[in-house]
Amino acid sequence: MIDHNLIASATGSRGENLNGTLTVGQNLNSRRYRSLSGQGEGLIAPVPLAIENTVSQTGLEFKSLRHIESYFGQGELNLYNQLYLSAGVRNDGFSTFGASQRRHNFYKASAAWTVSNLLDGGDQTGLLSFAKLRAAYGETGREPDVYAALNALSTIVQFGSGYGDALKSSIGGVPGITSSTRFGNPALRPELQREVEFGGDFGFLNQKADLSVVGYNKKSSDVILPITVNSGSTGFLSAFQNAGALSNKGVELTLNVRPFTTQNLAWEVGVQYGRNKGNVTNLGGAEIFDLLEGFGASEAEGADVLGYAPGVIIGTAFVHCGRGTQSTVPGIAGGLVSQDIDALCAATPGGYKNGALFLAPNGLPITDPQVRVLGDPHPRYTMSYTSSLKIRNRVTLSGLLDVRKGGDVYNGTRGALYVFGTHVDTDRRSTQGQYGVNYDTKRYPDVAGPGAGVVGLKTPQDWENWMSIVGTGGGFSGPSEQFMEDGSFAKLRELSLTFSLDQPFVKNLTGFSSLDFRVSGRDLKTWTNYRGVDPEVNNAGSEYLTQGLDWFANPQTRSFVISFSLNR
Amino acid sequence: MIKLRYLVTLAAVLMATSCKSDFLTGGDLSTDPNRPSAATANQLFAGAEAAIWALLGSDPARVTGMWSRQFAGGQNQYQSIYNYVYDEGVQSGFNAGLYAAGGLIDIVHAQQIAKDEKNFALLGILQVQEAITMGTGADLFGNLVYSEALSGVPNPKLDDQLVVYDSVQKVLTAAIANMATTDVTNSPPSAADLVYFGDTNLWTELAHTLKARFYMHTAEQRPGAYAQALAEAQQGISSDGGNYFGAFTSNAAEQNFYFQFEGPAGRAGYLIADPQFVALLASRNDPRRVEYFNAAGTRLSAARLAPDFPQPFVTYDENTLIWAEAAYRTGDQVTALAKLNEERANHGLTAEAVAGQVLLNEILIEKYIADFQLGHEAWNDFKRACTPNFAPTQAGQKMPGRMYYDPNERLTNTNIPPAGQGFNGSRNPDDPPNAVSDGTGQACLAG
Repeated sequence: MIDHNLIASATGSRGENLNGTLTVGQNLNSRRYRSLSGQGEGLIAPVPLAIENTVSQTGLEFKSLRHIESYFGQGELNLYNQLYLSAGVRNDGFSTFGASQRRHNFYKASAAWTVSNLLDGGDQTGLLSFAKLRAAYGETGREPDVYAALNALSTIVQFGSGYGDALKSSIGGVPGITSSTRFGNPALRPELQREVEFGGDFGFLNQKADLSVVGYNKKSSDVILPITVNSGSTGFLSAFQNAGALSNKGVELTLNVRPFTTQNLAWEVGVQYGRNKGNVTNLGGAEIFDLLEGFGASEAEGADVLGYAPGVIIGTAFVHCGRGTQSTVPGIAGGLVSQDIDALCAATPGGYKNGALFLAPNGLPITDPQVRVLGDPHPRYTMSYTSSLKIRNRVTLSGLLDVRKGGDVYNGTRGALYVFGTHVDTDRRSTQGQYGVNYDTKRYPDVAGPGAGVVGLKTPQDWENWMSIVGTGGGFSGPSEQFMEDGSFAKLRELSLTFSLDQPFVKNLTGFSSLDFRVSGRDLKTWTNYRGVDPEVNNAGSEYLTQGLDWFANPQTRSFVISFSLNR
Repeated sequence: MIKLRYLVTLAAVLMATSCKSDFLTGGDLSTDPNRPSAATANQLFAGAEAAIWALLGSDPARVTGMWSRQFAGGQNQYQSIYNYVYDEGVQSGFNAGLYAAGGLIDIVHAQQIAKDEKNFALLGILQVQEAITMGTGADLFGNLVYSEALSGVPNPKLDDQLVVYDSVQKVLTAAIANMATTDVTNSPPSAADLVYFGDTNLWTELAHTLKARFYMHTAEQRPGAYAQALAEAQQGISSDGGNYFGAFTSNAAEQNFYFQFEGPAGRAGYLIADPQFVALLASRNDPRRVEYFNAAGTRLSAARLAPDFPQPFVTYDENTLIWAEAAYRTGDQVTALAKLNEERANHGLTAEAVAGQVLLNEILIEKYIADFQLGHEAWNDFKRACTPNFAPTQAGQKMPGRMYYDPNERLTNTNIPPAGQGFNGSRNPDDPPNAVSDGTGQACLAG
C-alpha cells in the first residue's frame, strides 16, 4: 500500500474568545494485493509436512489493485472557550466504481457546548458540577469489493449439489469457460451512512457522580449487497446492487457513582444501559437476503429481512392458524388436496386464537414449506453493572454483571439430540403427549384444527417416529421453529480481587516499587432459562452478522486467572 | 488571509492536475486480472456440457431415482426425501442453474458467436444443448421461465409446461436443420466434444431421440404425440455408439457424480439400492441385476461407481423402447414386439412372444429397467404410465411428481406461488396423477 497525504492548515484568532482552524488536503492511496497459496491434501507419509508429500495439490492466486483519490477541507471554531463548532467536506474518488460513479462528496458537522463553563467558569463543583451538550452529523461512503463493478467470465464455476459433488467446467483437458454467477454492476454508488448523534455529559455533587446520555440514529442507504436476482430473467444468481437501506436507532446511558473517594475507602458503582433497534427498510425489491450464515434456509439461517432487524434467523415453521396457509393435510382428502388451513382452524369447536398451532386429525402439527422469520437474535436491551471497592489503596475488589434481555437463539443442539434420543426431553417416551395440553405447551400454548383434543403421541413408538431422523418433531427434518428459545441471561462476567503492596520494604527487598497479586474469575455463573449450554454461543462466530445459532458450539469458557505483577 | 489564498490556489492546482491524470483508471484498475473477459464458442460449449452432465447426473437424478424406487434413501436427508419429506431445497440449485453459468446464458452467448461466424454445425449442436437444458427443466419443474428468459424484465412470466415442450421441439427442429447445412464456414467442435467429437450425424440422431423423449412427456395430455414420437425415434440413436453420456475422468472434480457422492463427498450410505428394483431385476433373470448393483444387491456395482464411468444419459435402448411403445400406442404391435426384442437382444435376453396388454406391460417394464440412471427418465415414464405398479414409500401418499422451484427464484418472481400452492406443488396441472397403471390396467398405487 502506498498512502500519500498533502495537508495544509491555517489558524487564526480574533482576541481571546474566537479561535479558528482551517485544513485542506489531498490523499492519494494505492492498494495492491496479491496472494499466492498452495494447498496439499492427504499426507502420503506421516512426515514431512511438505506440499510434495501430499496426494493432491491446489494452487490459488488472487490479485487486485485499488486507487483512492480524495480532497478534503475542514474548519473548526472555538467560541468563548465553551462552544466548539466544526464542519468539513470530503470528495472521494474510487477506482472500484464504474465511470459514471467515481467521485462523491461527503459532509460532516458537529457542535459541543460546555454549559457549565458558562455557569461557573469551569471549576467543576456544586450540585451540577459539569454539563456538556453535543450534537454531531457525519456522512461516510464505503466502496464495494474490488472488481464488483466489472463483468467478466469465469474458469472456476463448478456444477453440482450442496452435498459436495462438483464438476469443473474444464474436463479431460478441454478448456471450458462460463459466465460468472454474480453480475458486475458498473452503476454502483458508494454505500452512504448518515449518523446523527445527540448527547450530554453531566457531573453531579462535585463530580461524585457522572451521567452520560447518547442517542443516535444511523441510517445506511445504498448498502451494497450481492443481492439474489432472478436467474430466469438475468442469467445470474446474484448481482451487486445498491439495494439495502437500514437504520439503527438507539440510546446508551452510563451512570457512575463514587460514594467514597477517600484514601482509605474508594467505592465506585456503575450502570450501563444500551438499547438498539435495527430495521431493514429496503433490499432492492427482495424480501429476504440470505446471509448464508447457518445451516441453509430450510434449517435455521441468518438473513436480512424487510421490516426486521438485520441478521434475523429464518427457517421453517409448523403450520399456524391465521397465516392464510394452503397446505395438504395428512388424513384429509388422502393428504393430496391443498386445504385452507384457516377454514379448518375456524371449524374447531370453540374457535381459535390467531397464531394457534394447527393440528392435523392425528393430533400432530405439520410443516409449513414456506421459509419464515423465526426469531430475532438481537436483545431488547443490555445492561451491565460494575462495582469496584478499593480499601486503603491496597485491596481492590471488583465485579461485572452482564444482563441481556431478549434475543432468540436457535437451539439446534436440542433438535439433534431429540433425533439421537439422548436429550432429557426424550425421557418421557413411556407417557402420552398431547400438543396444547402437556407437550411443548410453553412454546405452543394454543392449538386448533381437527386434531385439537387428540392425543398425538401415545406409545414409545409414536415418540420415536415423531422425533426420528425423518420425523417432524426432531431436529433434522422437523421445522426449526420448535427449537427457537429465549436467550435472555444474567452473567457474572468477572470478579477479581487485587492486593497491591507498595510499602517501602517492598522496594528494599525486591528493587521494585510495587507488587500486585490478582485473582480473577471470568464467566463464573449464568442465570438463564435457555435450555442449551450457553445462550451466547454462535456457530457463525461472534464476528458475523448473525447471532444466536447453537449447533454443538463451544460455550464461553469459565476461566480463573492468578497473576503477579512487579512494577518498577 | 494571505495564507488562505495560497491554500485555495494550491487546492485548485491539485484539482486541475487530477482531472487530467487517470489515477483511477487503466491497467488492473479497469480490468479484473483474475478472470477472463472473452471466450470462444467452443469454450462456452465445453462449459455447458459440464453443466448438462451435472443436471442429468447429480442430485436431480439421485432424488428422482429414489422417488421412482430404483434407489432408496439410506440415511439423513436422503432418508427423508425417499419418504417424501422435502422442501424447496430439494432442487439443489438446479432450477437457477438452467439459466446461470453453464446454462442458457452461456449457450445463447455461444449461439450468437456461432451465428456471427456462420458456423451452423456448431449452432445446431448448441441448440441441442439448449433443448436438453430447458426440456429437462420442464420435466423437473413443470412451468418454466423460457420465452421471457434472460430478457431482464422483472417478474418474468412462466410458460406453461406444454408450451415449454413445444418451444424445445422447435429448437430441436432448427438444430437438425442447422446441422444438415454444408457451409464451408461450418466447424463443429472436434477435440472439445468429448462425446461425439463433433460428429453432426450423431448429434442429429441425439436430437431426434430427444424429440421423441419430449413428445412422450406430453402424450398423457396429447395422445397424438405418440405418432410424433414414433417418427422421431425412427431417426434417433441407432446403436450404443450413438449414446449421449457424461465423459467423466479420474481427475478430481471431473469424476462421475455417483462416485463423487459416495467417495469425495462422503455420502456413502445415503443412496442405496431399492430392494423393490433389485427384486424386479432378479425375478426376470436380467443380467443388468449385476451390471447395476453389487452382488448383495445393496448398492451400485463397482463398475457404476468407477470415477470415470461414462454415465449414459440418452441411449440407443431408450430410443428403441420409445419406438416400441409409440408403435404399440399407434396400433402396430408387430413393430412394438420387434423393437422390444431388439432391446432385449442388446442385453442378451431371449426374445418374447407376447401381445396386447402384456406386450405393453413388458415394454414399459423393460424401459423402467433400461432407463436406470438416465438422468430422471425412469421417473418421467413412471409419472406417465405408472408401470411397474410399485407401492409408494408412504402408504396413502402419491409419489412426488415435481420439484419445488428454487426459493430464490420464487422470492424474486411474483409469478411463482409459494411452495405447495398452485403449480409450485408436488404435481403440475399438465401432469395429473394416474388412476390406473398402463401396464396392468389395475389401480395405480404410487402415482
